[in-house]
Amino acid sequence: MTQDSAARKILVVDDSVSIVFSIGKILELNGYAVDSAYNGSDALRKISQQVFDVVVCDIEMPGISGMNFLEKVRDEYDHDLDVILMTGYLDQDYFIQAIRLGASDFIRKPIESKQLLHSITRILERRRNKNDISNFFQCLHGSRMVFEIDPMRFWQAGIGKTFNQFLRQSLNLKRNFANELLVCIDEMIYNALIHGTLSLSKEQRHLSHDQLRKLVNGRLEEGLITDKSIRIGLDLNLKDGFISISVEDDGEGFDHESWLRRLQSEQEINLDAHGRGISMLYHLSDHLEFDNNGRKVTITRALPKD
Amino acid sequence: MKIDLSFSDKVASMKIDGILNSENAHILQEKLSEVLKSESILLELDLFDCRNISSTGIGKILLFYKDFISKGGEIEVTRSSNSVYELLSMLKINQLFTVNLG
Repeated sequence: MTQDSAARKILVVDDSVSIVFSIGKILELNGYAVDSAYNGSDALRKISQQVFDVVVCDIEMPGISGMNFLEKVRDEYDHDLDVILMTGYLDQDYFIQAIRLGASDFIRKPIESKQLLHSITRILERRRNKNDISNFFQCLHGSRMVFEIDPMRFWQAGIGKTFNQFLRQSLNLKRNFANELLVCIDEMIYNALIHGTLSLSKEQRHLSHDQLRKLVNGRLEEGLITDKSIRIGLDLNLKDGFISISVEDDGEGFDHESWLRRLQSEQEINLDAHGRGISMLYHLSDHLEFDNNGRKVTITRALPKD
Repeated sequence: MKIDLSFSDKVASMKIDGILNSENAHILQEKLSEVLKSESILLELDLFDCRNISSTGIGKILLFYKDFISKGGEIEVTRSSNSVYELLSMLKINQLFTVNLG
């Protein structure tokens, strides 16, 4: 077993049972933990449920091909997951397409075990260097960060994507856990912009995308919000095992207590209710808190154990 | 986030992959408008590969639901991921239409 292989998990994807078996054996003999999938759909399901260090995937598979799989991984799943593609064909176009889609490596069948192991070792080495920030955060008792967003540049900020990368890669949080936090962040910042900062009504919020953008841009041009900001606070406490995320705006605030009471007492869904966001935050957090007359909302979650 | 929409007879089938949030909910809104304009009387929603939905996304579905049932339409969630199923149940969306798990 090499230093690189210790506790590393590889997903092998091929529609050929014998190839999955033989590659799996090579990897297991070299100390890797191996899981397998026999088509692209199963592979996507597995990467959405488990964390893998590397995926070794065949290109020519019925249904979702290796190229389709890689494209989906990059667009919708784990942008940074290392994927080695393999093919029995010597087609240069395949190679170019694979590189463009972001394949970590490209190897030809029949697989030579030395080449495969070398490729995986090189990828893991590269990843280890990349993971320095993640290692840094793992070594702390905790950290507190505040990000102050300029509402005028809200749409350019790419807040969702930035926090997705930060939670997943820098803080190394598990996918499902990070996804739930991302939904909460999305909920909180969107409310902070639409209601808190721009003072738009519920009806205006549900305008078509183009109409809403026009309205928002109009408000931004009015210059009434130049002094306003949206503050995102992140408190990571590794010692006590929790993460708190807060979002605060400079708006009017709202009567959060009566909204919470109403949500808790309602037995049937009200299609006109506009407390779903709070209800979701309540459901997705271990603790939900409002301060500053509803201008600041904080969610707290216990960190997963392992 | 990716949405596939297809029509067959009077059934619209929609599959949502990824996270549906406030940044991309307008894409869902546009797709749902297509369903509303079509002859469809049933919308089958496949949310198995949808990893989570924000309240903006839920809001789009509920706004569509109101318009769709007024023209005699129905919605059924044919499959949903655990997290989405829990969320729809918590928000009592399953009182409005059938929500199947997995």
